[in-house]
Amino acid sequence: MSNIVVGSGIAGMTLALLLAQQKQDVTLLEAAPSPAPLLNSFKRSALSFDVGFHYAGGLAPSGVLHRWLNALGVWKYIGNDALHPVSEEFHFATNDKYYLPPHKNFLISAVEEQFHETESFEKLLTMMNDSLNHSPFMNPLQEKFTMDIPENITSVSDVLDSLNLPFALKQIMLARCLLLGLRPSETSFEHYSVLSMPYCESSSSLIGGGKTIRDAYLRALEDAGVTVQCNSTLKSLLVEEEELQGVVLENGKELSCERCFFTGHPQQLRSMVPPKVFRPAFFNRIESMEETPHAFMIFAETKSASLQDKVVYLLTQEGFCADRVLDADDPSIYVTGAAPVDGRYPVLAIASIKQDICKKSDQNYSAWKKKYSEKLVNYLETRMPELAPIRLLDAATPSTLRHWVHGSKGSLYGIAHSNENLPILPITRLKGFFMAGQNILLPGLLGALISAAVSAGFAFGHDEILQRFRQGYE
Amino acid sequence: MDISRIIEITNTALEVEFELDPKKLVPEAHIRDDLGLDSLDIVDMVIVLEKAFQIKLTNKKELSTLFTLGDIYGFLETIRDSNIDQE
Repeated sequence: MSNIVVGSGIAGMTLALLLAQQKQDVTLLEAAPSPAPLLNSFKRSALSFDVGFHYAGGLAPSGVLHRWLNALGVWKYIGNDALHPVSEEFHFATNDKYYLPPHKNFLISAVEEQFHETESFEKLLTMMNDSLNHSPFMNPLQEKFTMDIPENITSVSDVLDSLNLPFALKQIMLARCLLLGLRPSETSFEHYSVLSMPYCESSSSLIGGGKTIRDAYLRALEDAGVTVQCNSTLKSLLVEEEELQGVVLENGKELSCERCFFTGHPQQLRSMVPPKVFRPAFFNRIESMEETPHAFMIFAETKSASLQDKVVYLLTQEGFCADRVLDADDPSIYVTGAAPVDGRYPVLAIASIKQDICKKSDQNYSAWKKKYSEKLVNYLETRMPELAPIRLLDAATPSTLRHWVHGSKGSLYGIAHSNENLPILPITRLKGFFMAGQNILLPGLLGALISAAVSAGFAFGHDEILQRFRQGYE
Repeated sequence: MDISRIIEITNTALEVEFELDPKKLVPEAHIRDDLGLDSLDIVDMVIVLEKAFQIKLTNKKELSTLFTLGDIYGFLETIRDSNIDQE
């Protein structure tokens, strides 16, 4: 059976490996000139900056991501030696600073030491574990697969409001909603648990960054006999008598297939599918879904202090405010670093901005980009004086992301999976056509990976797809 | 809102959003067998009706007990009534 996977990000590469494990013939298409552009890094002034991957939860042995990457045959090409523990720091505008350690063995003692109270926190951890244990994609012992939509979706705000957590600790845990690009009131507690609990297990970066993951995936794909066909943009689907026949590329080339797994943005589909294949209601629903926030990033250097072993969340006076965009006086910022070169330390900072505030085609784009870069540098120097002086090397806008990553929207995580929305399913009305990726299920490395597994499960049976994950394959 | 208005709004929404033949939109019509709306369409239908009637349906468990178009009309009527009661 021939399968085409569209998009070579984490979701696409994971799908290709899972399909190959099912002894399927797979063609993996990528629009960009090289595979997995979001996992790429680039250099400015000899310092290396990562585009999309900075650190992840559950990568260390016994973590869920570790287990999945093992099951996919990817981890052996990353190796435990590449793991680099990362502490998370939370700086409040009041100058109070807290941290969460990189491993679960130190978590409770760190909470005890800083907040003098662990009971409510341990209760939260238990609730998170209970919530994610329902998913067979998170819990290898869970044998049941359900896609039931619960009658009442509990939000993160509901749960955290119900616990008597110390104020700062509550804000820190609310800040984890950044993993989904959502406000706590619109984040389902189950989604939150799936994405944030692994960070309580372990948080790590990888030596070599996103490229290490990409190269390991590419080697595993090579083992599986799958090559990535770059510069191959999907133009349309070939459909006859309501059945998928193949795909047509921008260059006019036709490829026949029995199944197609699409990991791009589903809002691109309307122009790719012949009329009458999908209902107008389907497109209208997908097109009415909100995007996650857009990001403005700066890439800079400092000689004063290293950020290599940590990521820093700059919170506001009130704690975590998801809506505090870069225009505000006290924006919420995410800061991280990377490996130093000759005593120079990379600084990467991300702020969210209002949607598509200024496009590359706008006349004042350069001036706008410069103004926002300077604002972010100045703000960083005020909030983290230990980094001053910070020298700006480059900046990225949503336009930059659209261009380099081939993301159609340039938002942080694609469609916002708010608890207000009904989920988008990986299966569609068109037999043989499946969807996957962060737009379908959840964002991030883990979200995209699980989305791929769910999608493959719909095509081949969930027990088949989960076999290696359950066995904990090496 | 009287039942004829509910029927009119529902039928118009289904006709446009699901490209259904208006002649088929009768109360006896079975949603799956006669109108050809499968379980995937039902998710979209819920959203279409929410928009058409400006109501929230996603957490209503009665949704799984609706089989014919007539069932939908009746269900929407009770929802509208209970919404008005709340106001």
